[in-house]
Amino acid sequence: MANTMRRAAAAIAAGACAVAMPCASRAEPPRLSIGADTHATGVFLNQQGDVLTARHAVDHCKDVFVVKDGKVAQARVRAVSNAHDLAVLGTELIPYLSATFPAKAQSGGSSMGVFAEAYSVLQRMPHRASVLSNAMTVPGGDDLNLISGVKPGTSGSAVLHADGLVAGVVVERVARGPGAAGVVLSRASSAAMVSGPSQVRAVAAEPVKQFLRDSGISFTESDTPQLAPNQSPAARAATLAVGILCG
Amino acid sequence: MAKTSNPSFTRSSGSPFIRRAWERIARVAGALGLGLTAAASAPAAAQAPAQPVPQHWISYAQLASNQFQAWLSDPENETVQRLHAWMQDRMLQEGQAAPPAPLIVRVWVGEGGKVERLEFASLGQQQADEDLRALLTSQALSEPPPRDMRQPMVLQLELSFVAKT
Repeated sequence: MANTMRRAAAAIAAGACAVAMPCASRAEPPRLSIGADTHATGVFLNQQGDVLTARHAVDHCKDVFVVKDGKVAQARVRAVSNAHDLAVLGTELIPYLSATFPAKAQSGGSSMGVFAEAYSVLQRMPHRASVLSNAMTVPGGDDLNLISGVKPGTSGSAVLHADGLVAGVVVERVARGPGAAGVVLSRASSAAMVSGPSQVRAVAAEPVKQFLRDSGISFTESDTPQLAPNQSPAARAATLAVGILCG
Repeated sequence: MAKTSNPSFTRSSGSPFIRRAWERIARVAGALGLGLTAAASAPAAAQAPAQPVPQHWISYAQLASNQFQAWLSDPENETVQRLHAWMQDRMLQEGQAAPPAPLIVRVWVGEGGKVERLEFASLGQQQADEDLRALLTSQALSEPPPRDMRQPMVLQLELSFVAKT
């Protein structure tokens, strides 16, 4: 365990020391300041600490670490979906709450307000508890498309309905021109900084659930609202979110 | 009620964890005093139907319980270390082999997520009571409570020991 944490500390040192951590060697487990930027985002799936994120955010990492409330822990890749750009990380973190997916497939017939944001942004978002949505769904298509202003670091973020159910997982910013490639939203993978609202693609809950079932990863599904009307999905997103660091 | 997908080929630790999680929710909901499991075996006509506990109350109580539990078992926190050291000493003095009984706390949470009022039976030492109170009131919960949720929440917490490294 001590070796693992030393490796974690060493692996994140380059990215985190300058930002948040004293660079002297430390005996205790590494911590990251709440405001430090993380590479991508994940969402807790169950009480075992499994975390769902975007595959592209972790597939070239020598080591993967997860961050929650400043605590850093090493993660291992448990399952990968190349088809949907998803990955599940096994972690030692104990979530306060984990994601609840809709039991029934959601119809994408009309546009609605949803919330999706990067872990590092959520940690320092002012008035988080009063934010009800920051993106709109785009009707049509097999994927869950959003009009959103999210920035790099959002890959792997849960898209939350107003009722707190997880509608999908963010994977990329959709290209604007015909034939252009999409821009993934993990920090290290982003070829260009993006700004302003644009179309973002998320993997919808149904294929996410199928991937989890196929991979033997436990999760919760329900059609019962997890939030009251006017209770903030942004605050719930912060509870469910995990930062991802690539070592 | 939520359904937890638990494939038969999932790793062996899955089922007990999930079962424990839902047992905890049931305990929390029961502690809220709203009859989540009322009249399971009683004749239906004999009792009025119990008012179901709203799921968002249950979610919030689970969040608060888990976050308190995390604060109480943070091995790097000096107050946690002192509280747990006191508990260990007490167990040794009293010759107890079993871990201490779960702690019942009544909690009122403000709009910002901070615990504004906390009631619990004394642990038997003023410093221990102060440490427990400090641990549960010095930080804000990650979410404010639902506006319609009845308070106080009555939560059952466990004081698990900090592993010495």
